[in-house]
Amino acid sequence: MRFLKHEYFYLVPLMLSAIFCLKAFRQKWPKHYRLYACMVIITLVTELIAIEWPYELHSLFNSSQNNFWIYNLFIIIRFGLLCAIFYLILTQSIIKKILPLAAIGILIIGILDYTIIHGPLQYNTYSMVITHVCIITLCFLYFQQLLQEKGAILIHKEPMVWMALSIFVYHAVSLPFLMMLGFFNINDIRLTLLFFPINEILNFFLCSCYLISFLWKPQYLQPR
Amino acid sequence: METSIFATSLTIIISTLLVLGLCSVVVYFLFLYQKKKFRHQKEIIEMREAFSQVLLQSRLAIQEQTLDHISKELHANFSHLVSLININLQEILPQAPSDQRENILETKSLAKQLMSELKALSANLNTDHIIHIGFVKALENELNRLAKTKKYEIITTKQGEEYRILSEHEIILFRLCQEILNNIVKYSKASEVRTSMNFSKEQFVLVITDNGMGFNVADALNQSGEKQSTGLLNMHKRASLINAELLITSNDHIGTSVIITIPQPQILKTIQ
Repeated sequence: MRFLKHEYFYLVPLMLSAIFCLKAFRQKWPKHYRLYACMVIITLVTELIAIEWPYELHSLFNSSQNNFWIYNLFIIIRFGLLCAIFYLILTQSIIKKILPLAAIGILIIGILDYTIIHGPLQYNTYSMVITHVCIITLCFLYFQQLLQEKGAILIHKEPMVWMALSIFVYHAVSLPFLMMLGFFNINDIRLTLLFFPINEILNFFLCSCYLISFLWKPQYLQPR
Repeated sequence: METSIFATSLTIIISTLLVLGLCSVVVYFLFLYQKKKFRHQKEIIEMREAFSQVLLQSRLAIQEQTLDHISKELHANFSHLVSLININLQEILPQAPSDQRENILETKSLAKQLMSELKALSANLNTDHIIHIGFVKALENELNRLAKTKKYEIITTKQGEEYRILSEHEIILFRLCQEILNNIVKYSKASEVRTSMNFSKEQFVLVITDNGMGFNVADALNQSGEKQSTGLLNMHKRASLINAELLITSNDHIGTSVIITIPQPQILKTIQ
């Protein structure tokens, strides 16, 4: 019954997209689509564990109810996966050279933030801000590549476009708030609570885009 | 304190909405630009297709003109020469020694045979003649020529009320059938050729089947570039010109079947 609350509505499109994304493996879509499918499945598993953790799961491990460690860990894993996806879809050689180095650097910062700076049980603001900025930049680069490409595709039928679109909107819109979240947590919890409905809407949008993306098939460029 | 929380909340909500608006504008322009680009690409592809269609039509028109010219030459010039040969032989015959008469008679018979072959060939190549007699009759003539060789057993069936379609379409259909029959003669090693025509208002279906050695259709289409053989491609192109569907199925040592379907044919008149 807990899952019938409005804050968990996003789980419906997320679960559906996790089911539909299985066709990426069955139909042997290119590697980046399969990585994207992995990301969706990991997102679903993370959300389910994070929701269940404060209620029952934590007692199994004799741990605290705080589920921040799950989300903090998820930020790092998802960033790694997104970097791998963008590495495969972006074609510019300079980006292909810089991206692995930048990704490794950011992952190190993320691990340091998770283990030493903030620790797993506090919101990892540093790694969150850096990964958000990096993901927004990668989305912009992908959009730029789409516009500059010689061929044309029906972009509303391309799974990667829906993925990039959703994560771009989610990360860009939530960034100003998330930057201040640590500060709000310390100063006034009411301001933090203000973020929840915004996050709900953004989460629902993100998961709906995941679902839409897997309703289509990968497109191939039409030669000019 | 309350005022400051309200002001901060408002600032956060407004900034979030602003960023959301900005993102929406970026995404909107991305979609708009890509849509325009796609439409432009589509137009270019359509123009290319239209151009190749025109090119094909003019090529076929030139081919028809050439065939027509050859047909008229065969009829007027070659037939005339064969007639002269025949007349000369007729004149030589009474004066020829008796041991050569048989040879002269044989030559006369061969000349007659040549004359009738030339006439049939001329008729088959002559566009006006095909238009005049109609596709069905022209195809029957072509099949009769095959039957005369005594190498093939010809079986023809017709269903429905026979009709004539647009003359240009009839010509293309007939040339398509000539290509199919030509392939049977050249490659199939068949002993039986079956044709069936189904006339209905909804569609015209022509099936030509042989019991020959068959071939791999996909391989033949793939190798048409390497072998510089355009027969199958031409057949498909000709079919597309009259909006017909062409389906070729073939099995090793069983035979080949070609199905030509013209959906909603433009019927000119029915033939009782």
